[in-house]
Amino acid sequence: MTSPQDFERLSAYLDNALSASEKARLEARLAKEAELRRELDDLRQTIQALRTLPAVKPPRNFALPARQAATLAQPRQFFPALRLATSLALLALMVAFAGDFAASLAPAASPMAVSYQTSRNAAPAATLQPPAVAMMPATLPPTTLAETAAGSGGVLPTQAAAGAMDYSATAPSALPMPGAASLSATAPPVGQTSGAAPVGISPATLPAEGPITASVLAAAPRLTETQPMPAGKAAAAPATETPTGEHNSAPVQSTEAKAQPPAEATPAQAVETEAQPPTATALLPQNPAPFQPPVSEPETSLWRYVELGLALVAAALALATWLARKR
Amino acid sequence: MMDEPALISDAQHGDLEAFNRLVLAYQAQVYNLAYRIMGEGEAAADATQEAFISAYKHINYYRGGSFRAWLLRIVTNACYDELRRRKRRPVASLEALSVAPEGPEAEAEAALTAHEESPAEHAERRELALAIQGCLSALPAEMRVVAVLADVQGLDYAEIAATTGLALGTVKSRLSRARARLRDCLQGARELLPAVYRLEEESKV
Repeated sequence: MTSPQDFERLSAYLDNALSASEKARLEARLAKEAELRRELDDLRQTIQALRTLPAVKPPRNFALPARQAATLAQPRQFFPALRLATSLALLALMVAFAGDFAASLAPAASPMAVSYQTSRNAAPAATLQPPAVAMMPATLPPTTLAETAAGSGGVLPTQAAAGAMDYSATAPSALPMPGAASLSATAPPVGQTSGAAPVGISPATLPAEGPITASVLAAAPRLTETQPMPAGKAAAAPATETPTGEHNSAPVQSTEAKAQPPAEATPAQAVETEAQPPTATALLPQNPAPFQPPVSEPETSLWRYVELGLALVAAALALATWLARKR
Repeated sequence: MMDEPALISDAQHGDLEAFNRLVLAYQAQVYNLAYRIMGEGEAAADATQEAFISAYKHINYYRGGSFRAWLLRIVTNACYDELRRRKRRPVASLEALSVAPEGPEAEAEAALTAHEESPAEHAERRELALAIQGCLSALPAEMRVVAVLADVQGLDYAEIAATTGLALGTVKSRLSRARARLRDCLQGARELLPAVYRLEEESKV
């Protein structure tokens, strides 16, 4: 009995599917081995028997009648269009995501956005520790600081651009200072102006003028006492607790009323004013910028709506495409 | 000779007439493959019809290569589907396989065989055909498909691979196993078929 391997060789040999060397080897063996020759003859007979099978005539014509073809063709035409629409919707969704991402990034690159993350921390911290600012490593968790600083009202974005980045890193280090609590307390009033919006940069400008901070520091404790907010609480969530926490609604008046402490910190007046509200009011006109960040709020929510809408459209189209494909 | 690529392209653009010319060109081969896989005409006609409908629906998925292999693959799959359905209804399956082709199919088969043979030769040839079909039907479906494509339809390994989606090496080994089984099966029926084997003895020389 031949091995399956040999039988496979014989089978391929009859189909002329062996390589030249395999063929030569097999033919040499066939010349010597009678059993292999008999096996080959059997196989050849089997194949020839199969080839005697007559062709059968189709019982009918299988051409598709136009009416049947019409019912079949419809989904065939829908499918590519649906597929295209689905991919377009997905593309639009990706563009929306990219746009949203870029929108959240772009401000970050610009002065204002940096303030969103950094200046909030930087502002109070910088005022507290002006000399240390540059050198202190950012070791402390920035989160709590961010909350306390969140309130430090919106101010000069342009200046923030210059200093915010650096200070953000250094700011946390200032936290442990005893002044931190009191400062955070002072922050809320300022924060009311901008609410949760990314603002509060004016303090960031302070560190730039190191000497100024001393006066501000002095002012901080005073402020804490005057403010209704307990210092500890303020640190937790100044922005939300304050009535003006509803970000966009009241930034204008509140800034006028209370944005002064940081505002007054602007290089020009910082030394003399020492965080005095009255003087700050005078400065306000110079700081129209703080009102812009709140504008970005409706924009981001708009992005959310666009993304949600596109995602729903894409999902619906994908479902329709799948159904069209399925049938 | 028809311009196959042009017809395919027209069919892909919704030209039903072009598609139906392709159907006419291939329906005999498609039906024959289905007939040898299914073992009888009714199921073969159903599978053929199903295959051409499916081909029409999916004509835009055809991406070059052998159009024949593409069609044969579709009808093979239609046959597999039908065989699976029959497995769930085994009684019908047994009946279908054991009943010899009669009526229109048997006549059609006869019409295509040589005309100048005696009634006795004709009867022998018919007997042989039945025996071979019986042996084919006894094979597992995936072996049967390969054996029919190679030895009944005369496709080469590459086209069988394209039709079945198997690798060339798999085609080669599966075909050899199918042939080994068919040889054993046909040797059991050898006594039934002296005339045919006599014919082959002659052709061998």
